[in-house]
Amino acid sequence: MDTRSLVQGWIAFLVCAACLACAVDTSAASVRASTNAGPWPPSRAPSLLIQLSENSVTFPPSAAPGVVAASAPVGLQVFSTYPSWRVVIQASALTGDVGTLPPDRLLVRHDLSQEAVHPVAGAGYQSLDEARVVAYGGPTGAVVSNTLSFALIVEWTDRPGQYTGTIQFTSLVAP
Amino acid sequence: MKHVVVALLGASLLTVGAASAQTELPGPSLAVLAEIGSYMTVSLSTPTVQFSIAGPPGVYDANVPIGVPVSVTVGCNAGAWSVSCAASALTGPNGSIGPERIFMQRQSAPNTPDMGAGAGFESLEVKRTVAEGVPQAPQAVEVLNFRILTQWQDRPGTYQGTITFTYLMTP
Repeated sequence: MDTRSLVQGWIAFLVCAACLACAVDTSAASVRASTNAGPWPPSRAPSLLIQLSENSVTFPPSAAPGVVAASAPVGLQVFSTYPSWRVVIQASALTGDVGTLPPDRLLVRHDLSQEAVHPVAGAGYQSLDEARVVAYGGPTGAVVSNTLSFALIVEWTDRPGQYTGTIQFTSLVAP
Repeated sequence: MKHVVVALLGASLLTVGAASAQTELPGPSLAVLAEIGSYMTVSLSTPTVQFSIAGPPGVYDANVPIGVPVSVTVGCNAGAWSVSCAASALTGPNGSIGPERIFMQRQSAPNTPDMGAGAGFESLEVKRTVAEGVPQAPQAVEVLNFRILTQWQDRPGTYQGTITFTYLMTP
């Protein structure tokens, strides 16, 4: 390395050291101030996250009364760090301008319901008039997945029209 | 030994306490939309009505199945519905029998004026109301008897035609 190169190197070092504009401040105070979203030090409290592949469930008009399948299944993914947890779902009644479809006629079939037998829809279906467990686990940290296939029992006395309601997901956790 | 029993009881109580200490956290929800269409079904207990006429001209009852009238079953989820029927002429190789000579009696209305085939029997030359109703699961709504009136000018032979049922529903 020649003398000229050495001088240029030293000049560059001195200029850079004097200007702290591009320096990264990694002090504790700085990190604490930048992490507004959570506590400091980072919380170790358990958490649970539920993700659904769809925002809604749609039942298209059918050719005749009977068990009508939803247009598409709903994918469920749960990530939890709780020692023990369950995710349950329950439906409201579906209401329309000319009547109501009670929640016992809204059904779900999934991996955990294979032993169930519904008197109308048959094997694997559970009515959503009560809370049904669709996922559970321990503090594995792994994602638990399930696919929920919904169905609706349509009867002859259900008047034509549109009906709307809600399926609520709730997690039950043990600290 | 006494200490062991006490320890087990304590563990049991702890387990019960842990199970009841669950916390309920609300999660996401799915909107549900269901669309229910209009349904109506009309079915008959038999696909065929047959008249076996071995005697002189006159009024004859349908005889298939023998002695069993035609039952009409209706299911509908619309606000109101009605079922009607009318007959075509019966045509044969040597002529035809007009629909005015085919008659229907509703068992729920056995006393309509005699139109030539006895009280309660209405000619099917025009569309006749069979039944009317409101939303219901499929069930028998009416029982029908049929008759035919033959005349001297009807030539021997086999005649065929159709009794057509139509329905109407209003939302």
